Amino acid sequence: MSSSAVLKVDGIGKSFNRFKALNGVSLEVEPGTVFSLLGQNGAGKTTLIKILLGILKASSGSAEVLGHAAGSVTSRARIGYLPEDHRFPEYHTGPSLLDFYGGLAGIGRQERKKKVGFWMDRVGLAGREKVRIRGYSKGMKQRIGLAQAFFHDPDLVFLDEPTDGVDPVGRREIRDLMLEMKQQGKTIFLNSHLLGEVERISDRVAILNKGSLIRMGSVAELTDSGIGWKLGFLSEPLPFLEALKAASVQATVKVDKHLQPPFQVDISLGKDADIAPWIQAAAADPAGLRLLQQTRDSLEDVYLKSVEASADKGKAKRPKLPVPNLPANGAN
Amino acid sequence: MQFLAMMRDGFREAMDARVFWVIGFVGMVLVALGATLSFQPLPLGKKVFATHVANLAGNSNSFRPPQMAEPAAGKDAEVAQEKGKEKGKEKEGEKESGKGAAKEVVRENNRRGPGRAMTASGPMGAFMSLFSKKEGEAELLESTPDQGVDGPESKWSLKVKVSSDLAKTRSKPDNTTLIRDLFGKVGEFSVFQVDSVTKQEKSDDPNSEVYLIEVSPLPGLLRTWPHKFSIFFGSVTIFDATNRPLMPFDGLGQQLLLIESYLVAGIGTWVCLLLSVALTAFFIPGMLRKGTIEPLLVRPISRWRLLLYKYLGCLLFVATGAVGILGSVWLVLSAHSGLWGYAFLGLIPVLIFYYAFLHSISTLGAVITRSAVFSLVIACICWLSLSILQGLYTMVITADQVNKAVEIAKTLERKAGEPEEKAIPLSQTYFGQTVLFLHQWLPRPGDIDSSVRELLEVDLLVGSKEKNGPDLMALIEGPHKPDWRESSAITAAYTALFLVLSCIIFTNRDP
Repeated sequence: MSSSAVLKVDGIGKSFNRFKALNGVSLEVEPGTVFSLLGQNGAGKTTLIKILLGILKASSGSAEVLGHAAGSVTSRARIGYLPEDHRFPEYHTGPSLLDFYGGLAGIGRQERKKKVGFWMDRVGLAGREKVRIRGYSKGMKQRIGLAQAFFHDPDLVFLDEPTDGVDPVGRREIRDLMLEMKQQGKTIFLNSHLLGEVERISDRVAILNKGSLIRMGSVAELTDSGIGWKLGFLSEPLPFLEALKAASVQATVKVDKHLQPPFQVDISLGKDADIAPWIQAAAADPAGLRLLQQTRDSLEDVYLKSVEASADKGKAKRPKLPVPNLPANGAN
Repeated sequence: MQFLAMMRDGFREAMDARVFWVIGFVGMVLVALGATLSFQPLPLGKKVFATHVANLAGNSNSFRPPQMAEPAAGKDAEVAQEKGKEKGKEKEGEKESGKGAAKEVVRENNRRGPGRAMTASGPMGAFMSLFSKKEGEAELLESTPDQGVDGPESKWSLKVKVSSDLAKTRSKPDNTTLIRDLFGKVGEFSVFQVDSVTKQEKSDDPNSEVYLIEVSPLPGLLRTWPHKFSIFFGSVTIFDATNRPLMPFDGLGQQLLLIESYLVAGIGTWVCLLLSVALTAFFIPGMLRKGTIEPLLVRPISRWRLLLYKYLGCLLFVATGAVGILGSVWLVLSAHSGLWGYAFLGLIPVLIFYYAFLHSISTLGAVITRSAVFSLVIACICWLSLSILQGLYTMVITADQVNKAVEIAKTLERKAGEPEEKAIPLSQTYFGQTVLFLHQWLPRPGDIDSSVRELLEVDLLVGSKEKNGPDLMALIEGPHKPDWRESSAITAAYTALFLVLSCIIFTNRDP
């Protein structure tokens, strides 16, 4: 394990009666990065976060947060958290809520006063100081939730679906805020269903499925394995297809008059394969090469493939450690 | 800082839940109603002193407020009991039957005179009525207030005619001593002070003597002085003894007792208590609900502190309300009546203590179930159960007292050779034993309330704890007399237990 990691999780397991919510999860998060946890509903993402925050107690394994045992008062002093289905006390206004949480975090009165104004403005709630939380829209609640998570200047922030219920403009603002915090050296642990968003801001991503970590790595590492090429022809490129078949290259042909050009071939060569001979072969084909484009799997593709693969493996034979393609330092 | 943050949060919640508004409204109604009350001393000195003079001969006890005879045992009472025991040692048989104690009562009454005998409602009243007999004549001829003001704060010159042999019936050497020792005393307490007694040389009736008596008021005189009590700024008169004989509730102390003990302490504080419990029962379940508790649990504060601070927050607001309401009521009533009885303020800690106990039950219920309804219902069930138990306990010990009083009375009247009849005391039945056992081991907040009310009665009806005679009530008191210190300790122990359990569960259980 890396000694600089702000978060070290070692074989964390959690059972609710007979249901195993987490099954030996291990991971590390480096400081100043955005780490995203992906998974279906019920995969165990929120359970893992709650264990790391000390809200839930792990059934097995151990975790260290900012050099202290997960859930310890010392570690919690440097942690921010935005829960998924938060219900902040509705009798508070935005400023009074921030002041309350700031007080619990041990921030002095004068400093709290300064910070309240700053954060109300920073999350776009300036001018709404007198509105009680019960009068907030879902988006406003998310904004005040983010403000309280960052209010006490934590080193590590857990955000569980931070853009849930927020409009596209607000989503971009939240994304910008996260990146700004990352630039300030804060570590962000993100749970989100919005894979495009995760792909844009995450340094590392882990995929949880049914309580087990099935993949983990940087976005580039996860999507690199899915590099391919798209070639378009005016008519059916029979010689080219024959050559692909002879070389056992995986190819998918799409024919549709609405496509431009109408005959398209997707080929997958692998990460280090040379494309040049295939480009020459395509160009030589009388079908007329009109399109040549490199393609890459999106995070969504990787996520779906990983989950499906995990499900298939589970059906065939449940693996002892169902974590394929896991980097050496993150494997469990 | 974290404590202050929780307090401020609790304050906002209380304001939002309208706890303050509701309590404030109830308080405002009480204070406003209190502000319309008026107590005017009536110029009825003649009636007052006529009653006291009649009491010299045991003619009347109607002016006596019944509660006066039921204060806690005093030093003199212990002495009297000791005397009874000593006599009992000499005559073991008498002691066993209660005869020794009964004879002590008779001796004491002979010393003090029939009019001075302890009289009271309830068991003591039945008991002592056996010894109150008219054995002479005493009559008020004239009453003149100093400086012409007919009221409880004046010195008075009285002209009194008493039968010549009255002193003999009371084992006194002469009537002057009788008047000096017994005049102006109600039960064990003095209402006014006899400054001088002068025998008139001439009397029309050879069987009687006339005395000039100078008296000065003591605090008890104002308390027993008849007042016109009216509400709504005098528009509705409740008590006015101007054109009728004096009654117990004509005394200012009794009137205030009616308001402070029966209306405010008996009804008002219970309404406020239950309202406070009901309104604050939602606070802790609200804090524990999913989505609200998580942001709190990740703060650098231990769980037990979080819970305890929340609990203390509720307590603080109720305490503030109690101080505000009861303090205001006390100020208004005292200012209007001119009688500043501080025992009423004892209701404030009692109310807070009772609330602290009920809220600890509510907190435990909330931590276990997270249901506001459950925590409220369980607190109310406990309150109701303990109130019923308190009522049953009072019934058992009162029945025992009556039983003992009747037993002593029968012993005195029994002729030699007659078989002794003994009834089984209620406390020795299966029912009584069960009630006493439960009362012994369960929280007893009601005892503390009763103790404060006793203090209130002494404070309003007598104004002094000084006694000049034995506490005859002690003769019929059994071993189960409630002790407020013990009751407070047991109730506090339960409160602490519930809180500790709540903290342990909250700390160790996943939310």
